[in-house]
Amino acid sequence: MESIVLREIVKEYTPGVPAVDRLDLEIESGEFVVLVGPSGCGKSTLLRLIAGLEQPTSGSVEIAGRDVTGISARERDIAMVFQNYALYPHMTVRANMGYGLKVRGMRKQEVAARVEEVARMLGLEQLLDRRPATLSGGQRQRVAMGRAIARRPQVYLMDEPLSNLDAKLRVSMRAELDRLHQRLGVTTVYVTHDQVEAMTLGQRAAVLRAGVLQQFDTPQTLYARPVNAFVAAFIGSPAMNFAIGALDGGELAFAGFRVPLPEGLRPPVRDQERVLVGLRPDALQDPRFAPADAVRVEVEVAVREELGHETLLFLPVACEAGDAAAIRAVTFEPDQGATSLTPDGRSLFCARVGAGFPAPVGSTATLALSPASLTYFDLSDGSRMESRGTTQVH
Amino acid sequence: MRRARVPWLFVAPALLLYAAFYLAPTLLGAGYAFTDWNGLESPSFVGLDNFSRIFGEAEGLGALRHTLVLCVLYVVAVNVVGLGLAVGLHGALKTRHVLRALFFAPVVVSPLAVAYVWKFILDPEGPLNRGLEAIGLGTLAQPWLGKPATATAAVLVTMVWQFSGWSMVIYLAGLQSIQAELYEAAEIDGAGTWRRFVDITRPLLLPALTINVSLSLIAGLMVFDQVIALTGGGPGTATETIATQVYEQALVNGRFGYSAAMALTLAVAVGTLSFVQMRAMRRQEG
Ligand SMILES: Nc1ncnc2c1ncn2[C@@H]1O[C@H](COP(=O)(O)OP(=O)(O)OP(=O)(O)O)[C@@H](O)[C@H]1O
Ligand SMILES: [Mg+2]
Repeated sequence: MESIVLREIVKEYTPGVPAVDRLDLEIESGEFVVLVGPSGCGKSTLLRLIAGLEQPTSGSVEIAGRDVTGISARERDIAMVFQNYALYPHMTVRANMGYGLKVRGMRKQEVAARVEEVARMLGLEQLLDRRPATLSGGQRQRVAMGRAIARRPQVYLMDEPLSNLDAKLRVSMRAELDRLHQRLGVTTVYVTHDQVEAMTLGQRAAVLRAGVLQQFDTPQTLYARPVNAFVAAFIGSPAMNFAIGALDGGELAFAGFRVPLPEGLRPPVRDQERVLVGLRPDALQDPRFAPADAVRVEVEVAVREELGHETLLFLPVACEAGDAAAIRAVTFEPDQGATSLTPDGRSLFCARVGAGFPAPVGSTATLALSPASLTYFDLSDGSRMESRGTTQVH
Repeated sequence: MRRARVPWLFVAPALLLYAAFYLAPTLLGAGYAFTDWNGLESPSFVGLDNFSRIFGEAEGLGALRHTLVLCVLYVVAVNVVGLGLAVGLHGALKTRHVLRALFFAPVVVSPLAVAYVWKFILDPEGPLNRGLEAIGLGTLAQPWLGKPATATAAVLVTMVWQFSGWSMVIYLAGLQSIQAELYEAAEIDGAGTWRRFVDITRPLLLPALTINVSLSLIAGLMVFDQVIALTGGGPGTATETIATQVYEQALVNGRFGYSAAMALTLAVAVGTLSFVQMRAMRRQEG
């Protein structure tokens, strides 16, 4: 059963400028869905439309089978965790968590019991009589979560609840959120602009750009089979490498490489027609571990980033004038994104290799590139193209 | 020279001026409260005589009573109006910036000037009575400043009209310091408009209320200009206040000692009341 259904939702704050544009979304009951996209793409707006804090310019919102379009946030059975938590500063943690229950007319003892139970669940027992101002960021975040959980609503809405926490706390809160969702099984819509959270938290993630839904699928599918260059560039870290290439005989020429492609792995374009080629950082591999059909390529190593368990290599590759702009036009990356250029006009590819890979800065490294790991996009609209003769490229 | 003394050197000039022109006269004035000084002859000590007269004579008691009544009514009225204006002009109203400026404008005018304008309006032959007659309510026309109740009301209205803009500004600042998300969180928690006002706005506006109440309390206790300009304390002595008595007893009747005692009473009253009020409300704020 669907828990949240959005139909043809349009939201214009300024007439003629849609913040959310004709968006359809069906969220299953009990599902954990992540809304992800760059800043200003309309994630918060979409969440607020579901919450009833904003009303759509057109379209409808359904929660648990009930059309709630035009109904105020009060009467939608939802709870929300705000980015800055929005805890009531003049109330104790206990009162904060119990407020929604009290307002809805629950008896005092029941409220107290429910608050105690949730506090135990989140390890907040010691903090119940404190004011929010006396809590740490992580504690406030848990109280905000507790306030939402105590209500036992149909739907949880969370707007970047972890963004104010430090990296370490974020990782542990992520695990805690996951655990809570497993335990409570309540439909959750979670907004983030962090693609790592999108990959790790959600059962499905909806990728937005400029108010338009790009793709709504499992994180694995978003990663492996992005519908377009924008999703491909946005999902995955480090980001996908892009270059413009063309088929030349049976070979694909791009970024100064020439990769012979078997019939079934060729992009569906004519000879010499320009096509956008994408390859993930792990597509450039240590030759010792590469599949048999992999092609050897020689690349200069400009930067080495040791991450401990692995190493990132940044490799300047040939890039024709104007290519970077043409790539950005379909990936919508900011200037400093993956297609950033070196001072001599080359673009930087990123390769992910083992920690001990012998390639010092300034040397020329030999890496292996497997034809099957290449992804192709239409340069006119950025949509992904399936390779000729295959239905599945992984 | 010891290091600890150095700072005193820097403060000394200001301190001396302050002592000579502020502290000394104040203390001297307080001293006169215990004498029978009439401004001419040398004063002699009379103990608490002046004070027992204030609380024994009809004039003194009347002034105390009028001041208290005016003060209480003023505190309530100016805060109700100020809060109302602030809440009304906090929201999305398009003209709110113009309106805020408009309601604040009277604050910067001299209270005497404002009172004279109101005196003109309330004159038996003035615009108010003429206006009432013009719309067929001539029976309501009356000598507003000629009857005790309406004269008191006139003083009150003049004060509220002038200073509710001031109280509005303080409340507006208070309202603006409340995060918008708190209201959204409360709405999602199921609270309606009134509930949000009671549970969110009211407690978070307490600091602004504390300031406003103490400012209006002090202004109310010390009311002077409006009374002098509008009614001169009349009709009879119906609108005499402590401050007008301080002035009249000293400069009209030459009872400087008595006047000083009254001023001291007022100072103590202002001090005590605002202290008690601040303490009580700060405790509320928690
Ligand atoms: N109250 C508002 N009035 C006018 N425009 C708004 C309002 N709220 C948002 N917008 C606009 O709508 C668009 C989407 O904003 P939204 O806050 O939903 O983005 P977001 O995806 O949540 O971004 P972020 O990651 O920065 O929070 C933006 O262009 C923003 O400027
Ligand atoms: Mg946002």
